[in-house]
Amino acid sequence: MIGWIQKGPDSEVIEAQIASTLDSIERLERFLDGEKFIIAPSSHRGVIFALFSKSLTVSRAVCCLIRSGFSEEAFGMLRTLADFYFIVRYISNKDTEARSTRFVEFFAKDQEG
Amino acid sequence: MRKIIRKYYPHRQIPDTEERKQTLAIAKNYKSPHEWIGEREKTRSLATEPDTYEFDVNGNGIAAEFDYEVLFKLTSHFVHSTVCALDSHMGERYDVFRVRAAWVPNKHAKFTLFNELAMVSKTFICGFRAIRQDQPEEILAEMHNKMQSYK
Repeated sequence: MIGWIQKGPDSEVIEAQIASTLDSIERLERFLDGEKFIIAPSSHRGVIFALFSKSLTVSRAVCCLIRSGFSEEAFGMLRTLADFYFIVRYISNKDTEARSTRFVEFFAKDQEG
Repeated sequence: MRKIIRKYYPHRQIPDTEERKQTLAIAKNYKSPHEWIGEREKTRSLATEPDTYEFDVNGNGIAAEFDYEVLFKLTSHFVHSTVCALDSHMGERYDVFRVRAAWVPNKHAKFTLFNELAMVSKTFICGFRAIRQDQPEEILAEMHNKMQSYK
């Protein structure tokens, strides 16, 4: 089913918006890589950078899905981006170091069951 | 993980290393295996906590309530297998079944692209507060302008 695309009346407009969105995503990626941020020993910087990276990657995937005709599936994936936003917002809002540690160490719960 | 190994891979040994013991000790800090913040409605709690950086006209910290109650919930229908996600796949009664019978090309595409930029922008704004670095303001402003043009 790769490459299945059903064109709609707005296809050209949407293709332009996809290209424009991808351009912004790429600019953010270039910015993050170009700044050469150091991941300090504190856990929160590493977590935030990882969430940035994942968020940008999911954004690219969303664009790919829309471009390939799977806009409804892309719509569902938007939920993941919203979730990343809520997590980053919560961690940065207060008690940043403690909250990011709690977020990271949650992997342990998965090992427990 | 231990339950899974015992149930489905009984021939495999569960490692009993010092590292594993430390991991299990950390796990005790969490009540539920389904949330990490210690509250039942995890995502709602994340989204509705009053902001310590941005305030409304009355001086109250704003929340991401709209993003949770509208965007998150609407998109949830397409993540979980709810009947809403089948809208484009339901045929009419007595019609011959076809795959994607009611498919509307580019359905939600503009909405998705607009909110993609919105969510990434907000993630970066909040994230840069946490790492205490200057935000990429030029890029974020451009993204904001694009969102305006996507409407």
